[in-house]
Amino acid sequence: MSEAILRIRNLRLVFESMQGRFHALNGVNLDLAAGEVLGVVGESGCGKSSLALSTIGLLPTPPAKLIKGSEILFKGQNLLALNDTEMERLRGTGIAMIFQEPLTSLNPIFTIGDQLSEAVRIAAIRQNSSLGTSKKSAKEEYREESISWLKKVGLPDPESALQRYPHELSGGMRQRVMISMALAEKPALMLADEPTSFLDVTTQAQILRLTASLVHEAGASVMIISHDLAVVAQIADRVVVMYAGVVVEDAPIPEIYEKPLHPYTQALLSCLPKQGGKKRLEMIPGSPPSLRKAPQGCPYAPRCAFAKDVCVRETPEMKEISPVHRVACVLY
Amino acid sequence: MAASLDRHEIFTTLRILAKDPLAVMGTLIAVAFIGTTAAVALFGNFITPYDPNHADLNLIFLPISSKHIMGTDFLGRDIFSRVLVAAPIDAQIAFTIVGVSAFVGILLGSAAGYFGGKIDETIMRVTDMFLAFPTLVLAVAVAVALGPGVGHLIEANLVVWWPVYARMARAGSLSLRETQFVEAARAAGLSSVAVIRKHILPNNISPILVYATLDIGNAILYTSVLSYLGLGAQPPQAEWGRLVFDGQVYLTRAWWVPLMPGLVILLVALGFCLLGDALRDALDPRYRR
Repeated sequence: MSEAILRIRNLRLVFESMQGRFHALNGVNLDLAAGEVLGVVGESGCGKSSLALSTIGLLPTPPAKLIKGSEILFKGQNLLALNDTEMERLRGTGIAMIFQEPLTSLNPIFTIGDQLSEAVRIAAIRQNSSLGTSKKSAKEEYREESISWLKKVGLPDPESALQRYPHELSGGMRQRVMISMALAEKPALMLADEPTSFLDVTTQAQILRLTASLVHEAGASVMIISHDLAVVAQIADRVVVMYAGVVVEDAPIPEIYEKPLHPYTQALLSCLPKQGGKKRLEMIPGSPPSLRKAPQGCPYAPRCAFAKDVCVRETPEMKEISPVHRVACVLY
Repeated sequence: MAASLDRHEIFTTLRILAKDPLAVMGTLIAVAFIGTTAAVALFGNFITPYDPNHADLNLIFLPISSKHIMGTDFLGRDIFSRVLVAAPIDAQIAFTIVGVSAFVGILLGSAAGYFGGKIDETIMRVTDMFLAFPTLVLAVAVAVALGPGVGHLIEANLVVWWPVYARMARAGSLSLRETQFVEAARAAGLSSVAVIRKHILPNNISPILVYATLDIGNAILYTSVLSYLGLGAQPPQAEWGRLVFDGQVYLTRAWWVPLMPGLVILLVALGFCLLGDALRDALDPRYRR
């Protein structure tokens, strides 16, 4: 495996509110190699979005609070030690993010062209590119660059799209614009938080394939967050399964399907609808644990079919099953 | 407002305005007001039918007629001429008050709402201090302290005028701060100042522009009130509030003397209200079909 571009060590995050503390992340460890596409899956409230937002430094503090000893290393640099200005400079061109709702991620009062060329401009300035320095006016060049990006994301009639306002585009088109804006800044790492959850299944597939090919072309690393294993399977190289603020399993895509180890991963997989199946869809009994209490023991133990006494008492260690497969369960 | 500077944008806005009769009326009144202001400012008393300050005791209290369309006052001066020459003074006062207040209020309010915390507390508590006083009383107190005169009248009004804009801008920027596109903009690496300039201000500005247009009418009314209390323009300078004040004692004898300038104030205030209302619909891209 090549050098890790993102290295998260013992990331612990709590939200402090009037109702008390919520333990959102309880010691997350993960690595992301350069050029790798990593999927992060888990149920709602398991800390997926908190993980992405703390990586890009957009969690509101307070109420969010990172516990001492947490580390997020981006290209070897601890992001949690950076000040606001340094973090600002890293966002967009270093780490970019695509959000869940394409419908509201664009400013409603500016045209697509205004917003996309802004991203192009930031990238040009930060990376000292030749854009905006030749004889042609900078504005004209940003426009051309914007058009070429819209072409790459497959938006029909990009010239006229530049003049349009966000409400004139469909959800899928808006998400394409968002992707083009994120990629236009040529980030080394792209975080995608449920990028396709709001789109219908056919558009989902198109957008995912597109993202995958553009990302490979650009050589960027991606962390794609989803509650849907099927979505992740389409583009990710490797999956991290999260449960109640911890990583419970970490394995390459084919392996997680063929040989899921953690009982939670197995349960998740058995919930996927199968073609031709006559059986009713499976479901996992119970619901994720309350985040109010500090975690003790395996968080999945109350719902686990294989739970033993030890599971309730001791937090299971992450065990390496093979160089690429890790699992946090006492069964192994 | 990058969006509205566009020629195409202005064109679309005008086309939408033209479809609404009330908007057309409001626009006409506003244009007439500004036109009169410009004409009087450029040509002075040449464009008025009579010399506004020429007294003739043979002509006192002439009722409305084709020669004097608003009648004459207690010194035989033509009221219509006096109303006309008062327009630039009222315009200057109203636009300065609203313009400066809106500018100051938007800057302070947007920053307060976006940054929150200590910055928000500091700015808003100062704003609250100004809002805590009854506005008219505070304005009168400041005007009295400064002494009569148009310049002082503007200053007195500014003191009480900006907090409303600061509150509005703060409310807008509080809700904008939580939107996805602001989060997306920050994720794209924009600095706080850039986010405020590019996303908070432009989105905040249309409701405030609408309110400011409505507010021009208010400012004229307020100016009139202060002048009416003897704190603004001094005789023989004509100013609308002053004209009403000077005329009110003759209400039973010659009702047109106070009423005609009063109606002009009403008409102009109403015109700006209609225009403001129509602008709100026209400026919002989502209403454009």
